[in-house]
Amino acid sequence: MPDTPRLNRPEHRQARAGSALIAPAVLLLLVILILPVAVAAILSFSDYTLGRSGIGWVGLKNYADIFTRSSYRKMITATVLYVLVTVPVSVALGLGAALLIRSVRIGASFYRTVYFLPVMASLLAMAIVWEFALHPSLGLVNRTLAQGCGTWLEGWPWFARGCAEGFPLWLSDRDYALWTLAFIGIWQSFGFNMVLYLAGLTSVPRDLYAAAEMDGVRSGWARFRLITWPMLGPTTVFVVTISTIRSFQVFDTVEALTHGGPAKSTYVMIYAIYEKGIAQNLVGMGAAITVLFLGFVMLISVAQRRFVERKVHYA
Amino acid sequence: MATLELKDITKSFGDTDILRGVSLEIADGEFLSLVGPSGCGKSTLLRILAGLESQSAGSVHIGEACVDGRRAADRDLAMVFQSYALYPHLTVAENIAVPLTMRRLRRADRLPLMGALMPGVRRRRADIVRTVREAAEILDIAALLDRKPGQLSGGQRQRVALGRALVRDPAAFLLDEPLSNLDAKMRVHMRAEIAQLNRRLGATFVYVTHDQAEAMTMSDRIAVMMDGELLQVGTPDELYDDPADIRVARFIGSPAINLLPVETDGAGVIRLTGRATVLRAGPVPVAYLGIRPEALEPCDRDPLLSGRARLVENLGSDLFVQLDVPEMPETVTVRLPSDARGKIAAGDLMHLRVRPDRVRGFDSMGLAAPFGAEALADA
Amino acid sequence: MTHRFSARQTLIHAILILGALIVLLPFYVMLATALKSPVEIASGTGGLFGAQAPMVSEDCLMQGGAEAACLTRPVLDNFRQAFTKAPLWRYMLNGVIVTAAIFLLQTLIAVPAAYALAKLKFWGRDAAFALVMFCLLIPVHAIALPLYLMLAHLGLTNSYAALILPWIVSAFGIFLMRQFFLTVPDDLIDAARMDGMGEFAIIWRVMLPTAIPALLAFAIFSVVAHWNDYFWPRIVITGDRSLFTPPLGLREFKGDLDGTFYGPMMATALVIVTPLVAAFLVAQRRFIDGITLTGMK
Repeated sequence: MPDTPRLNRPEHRQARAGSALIAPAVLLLLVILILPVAVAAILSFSDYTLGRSGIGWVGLKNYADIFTRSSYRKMITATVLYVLVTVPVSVALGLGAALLIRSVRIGASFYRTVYFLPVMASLLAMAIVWEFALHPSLGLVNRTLAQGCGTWLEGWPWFARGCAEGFPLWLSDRDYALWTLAFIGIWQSFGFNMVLYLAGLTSVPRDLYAAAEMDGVRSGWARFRLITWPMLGPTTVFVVTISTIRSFQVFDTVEALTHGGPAKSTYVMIYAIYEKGIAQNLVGMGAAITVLFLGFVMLISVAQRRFVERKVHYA
Repeated sequence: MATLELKDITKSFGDTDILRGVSLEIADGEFLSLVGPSGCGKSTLLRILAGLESQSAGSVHIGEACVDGRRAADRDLAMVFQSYALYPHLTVAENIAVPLTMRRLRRADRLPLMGALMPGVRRRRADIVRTVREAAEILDIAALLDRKPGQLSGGQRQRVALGRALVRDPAAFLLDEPLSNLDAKMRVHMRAEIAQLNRRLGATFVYVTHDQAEAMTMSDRIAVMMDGELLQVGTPDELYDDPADIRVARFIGSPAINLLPVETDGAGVIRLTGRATVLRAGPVPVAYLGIRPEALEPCDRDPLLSGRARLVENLGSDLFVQLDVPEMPETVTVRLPSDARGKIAAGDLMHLRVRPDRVRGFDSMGLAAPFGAEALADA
Repeated sequence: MTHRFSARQTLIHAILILGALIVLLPFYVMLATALKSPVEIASGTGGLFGAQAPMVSEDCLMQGGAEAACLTRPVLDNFRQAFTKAPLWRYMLNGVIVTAAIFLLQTLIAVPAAYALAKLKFWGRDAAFALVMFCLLIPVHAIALPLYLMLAHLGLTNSYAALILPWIVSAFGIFLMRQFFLTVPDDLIDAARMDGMGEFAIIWRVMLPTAIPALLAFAIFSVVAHWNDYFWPRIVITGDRSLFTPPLGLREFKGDLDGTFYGPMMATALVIVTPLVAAFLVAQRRFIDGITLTGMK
């Protein structure tokens, strides 16, 4: 274009503005998110500790330790078990609550509010409250259970044993600790899933139910199988993903209530990163666990994106 | 007020040419429509004129000045958008005032509290309020000034968008399909109002539309665009009666013009389905005859065309008959006056003739091909 | 027909109420314990909300107060201890400073970036968007260790900067705002340009006001996450109480427990949990819509 300087053209002004506006974000994403991933990846091959000058390269030793030492095997077991328990139950409870709340004629907003409350409350604070509620002698839970002694409930062997030998030490018995933490995790998160499912349900066209009625679909279960569940497919994929990633990151309850114990039964990965990498300053080991953890999380996210790619386009 | 001139504008994205050398002069105070099917480049041309996009080559002049490289805000043009583009968070009055506050108040003046203390700001703000009110009264929306765009109907939003253009007293108004989001009744109403506004303000209007009826009813001149080129620029009558290109003929007029394939023999006689007609070709062989539906009339003998009615559409004021003519690839449309109602039914055989001066010829490339002199003499 | 339906409804309500009781149980425990005297807590008496019988505060006596001066009610004593044994006001203030700073900086960085990604054409835009999408996969908590090391090398641990900096760029915020900006018609931006606005004016005067619902949703998402965050402050703040956020303060309170502290500790928990819960109860629709919007991206 002969008579107009290129820089004055509107397209160029926009391009300049675009680069200038995106630059801070890109720079910060690189420094705050990408660079640490690289740092973790590099340090995972070292025995680096903070404060000591010099760095020793140990090759794959840290990774080898993770897969051979029993404490790290316990770490992976605890993490996977926690996720495998929390996710299905909190998703199912979220869906169940949403369906029930949709079907009541009064009080829907009351239930929704109540079930959502734990999502708002600080998990650390509520974990401490749960700990107190589950306290072996002072706690409301065991006191309430004890009141059932001497009644028909003793017909249940577990209950009878509780009455005879004392009810479980929920957080300091290795048979119960992980399950108790999972229960708190579910308690805290299913309301969030419920809200997402409620939103998903409102987007199911009412006409579909009318059409199903005309087509002779009578039972509620048949309606659910034919319409609700398939229509909630994208919601479910999303809810499962986000629940999985969140429960992978469980830390507050572990740190405050069990410190990974008893006998490493609640030694989940994020807590291990904290304990090894920061508290004990074994940075190399912490970095290796970090890399493994990122691998897990990204695998799940990528799987989810693959899953929905056919339906949702972000561009 | 100013003339606008586009000189040999081209625009391409990679290998695709959106505009291929468009030149157009628009007179001061003129209402010019840019019309064409979607994707013909008319909106791009308008955006280049506005300064929202740049041309690949060519130049834009407003008044005497070349405005290439001048930003949209500095070209002294106002634009009305298809989606109205009202700021949803501002009231009607604030929407209309935006172009004035952005121009008349400096950055510091616009600050919420500080601004009020700056010298002269109070007076300028009062001026703005008055100008906004005047514009609102012209457009009959003074009662809506405190509402938000979300509370308005389509027609009202349209007026606010016009008001925002109006207050600036710009060199020219650019309107990009401003009526296409309105319902049919409102569209007819607003079309009259916009045309009146043009006359009342005496300002230059450039109006982009894909609707030929809008262009025909409102414009002083129409520029028909197709595939990035201007096919013809002229008054509505010129375009309707003397289309320079078969594509213009096809685009202008509803129902569409009948285009009958013909052959021109060595002696210049134009033959329709093999039979000689009274028409004689000029220097260029004629490949198509263009006949408007209302130019055809029923007759008893020596018909130009004969065919059976396939469909009779009764509009009350007129009667449209779709005719199957043997050997014709498409049906022929005939427009009959309302007194023909009830006299024709589907399946009836009709004979039609036409006055030669109401027929237009086109060559095999689609360009207008004038008839020889003897053809008109026969009439 | 009606009869059968109401039986069904009753059953559903029974299930939902049972669920609600379990959900509310810890909230009740927290509230009841914060209201009870140490004796009531230890013996499990005091009914639902404690008898509120006058009592002598042990804590007050230990600090050398006269018995008459230390006569108080359980609820008052619990909250008094919550605020005097630890600088709880300071923790709350820190929580406000940190969450507000994080949200403001996130907005300041994400909104222009989102506008550029949604509405401007420039070289590298697709690459920048791909970067954002990739960063969405990285939970900041997961890379806490390297972030901590980087901050330690810069000498920034135990500072507000350490609490705030890792969060100022939110890939999610950029993504969310971009999705919202995509729905703003291009015409509106062109109109603003014709009206004489520059790109900055367009962002703050046109785009942001139209994106208030999305921004509000993001604000709720961000504030809830960072007010309640315990993991990151736990890592970068060691020892310096004046920098403690509310969850850290509560965690420290838990340090030494001998039965008598349960009351004040639950009072502290109540103080920490109340702001968000109260805000949620006041503006439920907004919160739930916001969480849904940020959740469903």
